[in-house]
Amino acid sequence: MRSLTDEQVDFIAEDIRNRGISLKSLEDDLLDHICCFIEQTDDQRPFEQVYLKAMEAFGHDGLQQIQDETLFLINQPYFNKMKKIAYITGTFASMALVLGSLFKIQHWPGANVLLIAGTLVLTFLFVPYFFYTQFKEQTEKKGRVVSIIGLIAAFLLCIGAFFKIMHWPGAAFMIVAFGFFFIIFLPLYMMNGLRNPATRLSSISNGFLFACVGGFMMLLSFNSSSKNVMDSMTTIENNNTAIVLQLSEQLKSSDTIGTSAAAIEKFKAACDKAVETYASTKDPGAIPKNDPITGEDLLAFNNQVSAAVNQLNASLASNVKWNKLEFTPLIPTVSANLRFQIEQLKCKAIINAM
Amino acid sequence: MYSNELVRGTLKTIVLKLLKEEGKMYGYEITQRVKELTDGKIQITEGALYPTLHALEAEGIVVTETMHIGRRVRKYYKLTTEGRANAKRKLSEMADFLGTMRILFEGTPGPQHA
Repeated sequence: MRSLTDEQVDFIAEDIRNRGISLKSLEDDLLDHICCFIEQTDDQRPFEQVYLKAMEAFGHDGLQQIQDETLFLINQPYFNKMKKIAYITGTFASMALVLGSLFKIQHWPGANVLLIAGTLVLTFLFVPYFFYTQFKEQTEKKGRVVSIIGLIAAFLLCIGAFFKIMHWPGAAFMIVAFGFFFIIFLPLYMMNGLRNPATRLSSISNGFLFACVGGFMMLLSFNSSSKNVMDSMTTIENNNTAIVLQLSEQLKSSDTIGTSAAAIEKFKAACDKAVETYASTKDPGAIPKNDPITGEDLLAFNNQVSAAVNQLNASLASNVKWNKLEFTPLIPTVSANLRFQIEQLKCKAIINAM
Repeated sequence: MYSNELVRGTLKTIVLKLLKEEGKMYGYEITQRVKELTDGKIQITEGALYPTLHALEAEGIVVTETMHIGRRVRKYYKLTTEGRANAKRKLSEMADFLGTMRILFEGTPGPQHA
């Protein structure tokens, strides 16, 4: 029987903490246990040697394993509950999203409700629960960092994809940000999983799946965001220039400009000013939220432009003088022109933000 | 020494039985008492005991009482009211289990099937 000095007890406590025990209650247990063992051993060698022998019994990383096991046992009931919630919400969200997409493609009513419900459940219930259980199951710091990066990436992807579907601005930015986090996440996740033989196989298959999904989402979003829209823009731009030229030719050849021409100038000046104001707000966040550009918008505008061209051609052919031409129908054309320019600026701003 | 596999499944019940009989015990005391009672045939490791005790505490089956011994704290574990009921169930389950094991391994003739 020996009695430990205060310094020796402090030394043991310090060493326990250094070996990775962070739970205070467990530290107390282990400290008392080790002290009891040393005090009651028959070994007559000096303290240091007896202490080393006592610690040897725990093995390498032994204390850390005791803490991991303790945390696991304590948290297991919560984990199971949370995992169940994650499964249920995940199932609901994926069903709502698949149905919502189908409704959207078929232009059936209720698509948006389904998509919004699915995304909300996915983003704010499934993803947090899923990553929380992942996070808690990671006992190492490195694993936890990987979980957090994964959580951010998943958040960005879910919300970005949803914004994309709803034609809300900012989607492209979120998906690019997702790509950034994803590129960090994937190798870390793979390295973390491969080191542990128990998770090696699942991390390979999960990593492959993540890479497929992530790559697919990025490809999808990049392709559709710019080229189609920009091509239509160019077409309308060309049409538009032709109209403006025609209009100014008409104004020049007209002998009775009078109040109509002044009105046109005034209207044009107002339009230019609005466009200018718009151009100065390069921040895509400043774009009106309820004014998204869609295929229908472009088509409608194009139709308006062709109708105006036809009208002008018809009036020229029938030799109707410019002053007799009804001025009012031209206003929608000019306003459509303004609208187009705004849309174009909006697209440019979004693309610039990327 | 029995294999870890055998001891693991019964550890919780052993702890509950000791606490039920002794009132309150601390970790090292439990390991020593089991060693002594079983003639060293069952040696509970710290690695198995403390996670189990903490899990029992989290479940509300045991509570701790701390006592300062010089620079360190000794934690005594004791059953709660709910824990006592739980221990009773566990112990009768174990007694039943031991009976069943005896039938299985000692070849006591069971009901004859034609």
